[in-house]
Amino acid sequence: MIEKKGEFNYKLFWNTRKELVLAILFFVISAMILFIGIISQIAPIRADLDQLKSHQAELDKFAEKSAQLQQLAADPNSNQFSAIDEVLPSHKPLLEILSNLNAVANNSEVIIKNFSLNPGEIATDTTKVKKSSSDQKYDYLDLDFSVSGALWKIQNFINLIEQVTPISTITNISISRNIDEDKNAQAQADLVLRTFYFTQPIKTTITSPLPVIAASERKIISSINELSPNNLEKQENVISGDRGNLFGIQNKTVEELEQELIQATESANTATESVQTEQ
Amino acid sequence: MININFLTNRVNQKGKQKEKDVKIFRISTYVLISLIVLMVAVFAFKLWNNLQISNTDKKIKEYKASILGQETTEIGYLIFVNKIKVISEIYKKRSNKQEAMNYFADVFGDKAEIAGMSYQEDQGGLILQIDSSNVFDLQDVNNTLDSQALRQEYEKLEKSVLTRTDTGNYKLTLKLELKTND
Repeated sequence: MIEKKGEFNYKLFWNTRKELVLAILFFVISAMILFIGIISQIAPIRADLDQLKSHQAELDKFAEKSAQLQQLAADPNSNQFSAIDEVLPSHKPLLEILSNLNAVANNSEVIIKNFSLNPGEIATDTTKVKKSSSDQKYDYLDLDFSVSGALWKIQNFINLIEQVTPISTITNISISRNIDEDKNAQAQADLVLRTFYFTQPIKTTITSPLPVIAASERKIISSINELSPNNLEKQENVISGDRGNLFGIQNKTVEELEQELIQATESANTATESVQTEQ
Repeated sequence: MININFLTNRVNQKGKQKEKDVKIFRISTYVLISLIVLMVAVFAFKLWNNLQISNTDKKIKEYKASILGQETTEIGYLIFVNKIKVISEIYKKRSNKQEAMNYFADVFGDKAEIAGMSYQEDQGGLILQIDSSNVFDLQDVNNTLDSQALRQEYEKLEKSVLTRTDTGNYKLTLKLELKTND
């Protein structure tokens, strides 16, 4: 007798088609693994790879910069870094100019007269007029003066003054000789000496690469090594005249002075109290 | 009534179905295992990436500390380079005035003396006043000025003013354009 077909017999299906059921289950799990475990990880992995690439590039830059700095620190020529301050100082080289003028004049055997210098004050019209470079990398001091002597000595002076540090240039020359009256007449020269100093602010970040010195600029280094150094001694201590022990406290330490003051105060208080008691 | 026994057919059918199911099961197992292995590989790669990133960040921190420790050297070098650039600019603007002065002081010999000289850097030209004691010396001076050798040295040379003084001297004014070190 044919049985009436009713509900689906899961038990029979499981018993007879076990492998198919498991296969279906495995395919479902595989699909989940594919979408959740693999495809969804592609974008994050790409992002990680990009991040790794950028970090590696950054690391290479830092490694290069660190190596360059270590090389600079170990370079025996690194003392040139401070020596450049003699050639182009970062301050107005007023004393250096005057010292150079005196030294070169003595060397060239010319006589200096009538010199004037306007070092400028803060925010005055003079400083505004004197402002030189538009990008403010450097500024200058102009020294107007006259020299007199034989023409060849004045030429020698002009040659020498541009060969001492800090770097200076003669920008104006006016030489006259009254040879109508005397063939061997002395020459009189009105000169303007422009001395330069560095004013550019230096900014850098930890990620900025070190600048490279161009080949043309390397030639400058050998030129400036030939300049004569300025002989002005730097004053680093206060030099005072000896006026003796004006207040009776010379060569005493602060602690000793404190003790003396405390003792003096106590004895003054004791004296005051005894006077009040007597009264 | 004829009885037909379908059992053999059914058994055969069932057998073939089972074989098919086993085959599908085998395939699904392979697929699942492959995908599990692939997933493990993906996560392992991700972990390795994160480790690499972490190592790189650590090295970056070390290098940063090293660079900060050498700040003084870096600043000294930056100042040095910038000052060299400025000095290079200053040198380029300088003209060869001393060379010209020395040249013209000697080129005429005893035929002429330099009576005056004027120079302004912003204009770039040198003005010389030459004094000759007589017309013959002046002629020699003129020949020297027109000579090829001098013109090769100073192409842009102009004779501007010639005067005669009461004492019979001739004063010739020369204007010459100086080259810069550009």
